[in-house]
Amino acid sequence: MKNSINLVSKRQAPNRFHKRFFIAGLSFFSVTFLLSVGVIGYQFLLSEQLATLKSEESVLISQVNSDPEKKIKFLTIRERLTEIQKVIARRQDVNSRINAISEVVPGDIGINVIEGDEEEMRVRVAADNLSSLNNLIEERIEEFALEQGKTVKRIEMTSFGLNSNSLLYEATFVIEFNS
Amino acid sequence: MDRQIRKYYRRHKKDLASLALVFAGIIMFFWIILPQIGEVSDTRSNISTQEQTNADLYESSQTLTALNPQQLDVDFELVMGILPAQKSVGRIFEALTLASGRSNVEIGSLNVQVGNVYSTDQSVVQRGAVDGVPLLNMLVRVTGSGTQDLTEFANMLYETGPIVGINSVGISGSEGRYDLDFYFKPINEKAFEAQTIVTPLTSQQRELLTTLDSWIR
Repeated sequence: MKNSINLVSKRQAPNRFHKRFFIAGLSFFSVTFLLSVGVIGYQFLLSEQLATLKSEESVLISQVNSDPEKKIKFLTIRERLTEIQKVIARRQDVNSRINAISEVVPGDIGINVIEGDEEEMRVRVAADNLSSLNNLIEERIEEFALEQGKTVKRIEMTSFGLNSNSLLYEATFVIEFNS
Repeated sequence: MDRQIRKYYRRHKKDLASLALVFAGIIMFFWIILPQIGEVSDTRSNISTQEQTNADLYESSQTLTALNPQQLDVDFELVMGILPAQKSVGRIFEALTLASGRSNVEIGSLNVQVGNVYSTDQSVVQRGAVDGVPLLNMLVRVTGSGTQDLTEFANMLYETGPIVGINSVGISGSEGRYDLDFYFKPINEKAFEAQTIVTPLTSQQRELLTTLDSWIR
C-alpha cells in the first residue's frame, strides 16, 4: 500500500547517477588524453631542439679541430704555463734568503761561508775588528729578524773566536726559517 | 556463482563505459604522463648542458681563430725552452753557461744525482718535486771572485730555462756548490688532440709569458 502511493519514480535517480558518472569518466579521460598529447608533443619539440644542438656541436667540434697543429700548440703553451706557475710557486726560496743575509752583513765584514736550504742557513763571517762584529750581532741581526717577520724562526750564534791563522775574528750563525 | 555475476553485470551494465574511460585515464596517467614528465625533465637538463657545451665550443673556436700563428710559434718556443719536453743535459749546460756568464763565475763540475729512476712508492717524494712535473737533479760546483758573484749566479739561474729549483746552496770563499732540480715535462699530444674545449690564457698566464720572455732576452 505504501509503495503504491509513492509518487517519486525509483528509476530516475539511477539514470542521473549513470549519466553523471559517464560525464565524470569522460572528463577524466579527456583531461588525461589532452595532457598525454601535450606532454608527448612537448617532449617531441625538446628532442628536436636537442638534436639541433647536437648537430651544432658536431659543426663546432669540426671548427675547433680544423687546425689541429694550432690547437695542440696553444694547449701545450697553456699547460706549460700552468706547470711553470706550479714550479715557481714550489721552488725553494733559497735565493731570497741568501740575498737578505748578504745585505745584513756590512761591507767591512767578509762572508766566508753561506750554506743551507729553505729551512736552515749557516753563515760564517770574519772581520778584523770586533766593533763591526759587535754591530752585526747587537743591531743588524735583530733588524734582519724584525724585517723578515714570521719567516725567521730562530737565529743562533754557534761559534765565535779569533782565527789564529788569519788573525780575523770569526762568528758562525745558524738561521732557522719557518717553512 | 554464475547467476550472481550475471545479476551484478545487469545492474552495472550502464556504468561499464564510464569505468572503462576512468580506467583508460588512469592507465594513460601512469603509463604516459608520469614517464613523459620524467623524460621532459631529463631532456631539458640535457639541453641546458648541451647549450653550455656549444657555448664553450663556440668560445674555443673563437679563441683559436683569434690566435696569431707567428706569435703562437714564438710563445711555443719560449715555453718549450723554459719547460722542455725531455731532460736534456745539453740545454741544462746552456742554461748554466748563460747564468755563469751573466754572473762572472766559472763552472767547475756538474754531477747528475743518481737514484730515483723509478718508484711505485708514492711516499718516496723527491725534495723539489712538483706534482706532475718530472725533474733532473744536479749538483753543480762553480768558482767566482767572491760571495756576491756566487749569489748572483743563483739569482741568474732562477731566470733561465730549463726552469730550475735550488734545493741548497753552499758558498765558501770563491767556491759555490748548488743542489739543483731542472724540470721537464713530455707533451701529451693524444690528450690535446682529443680536447675540444680551449679557453683563452688568463691574465696571470699572459703576465707570466711576458716574464719568461724577459728571462731569455
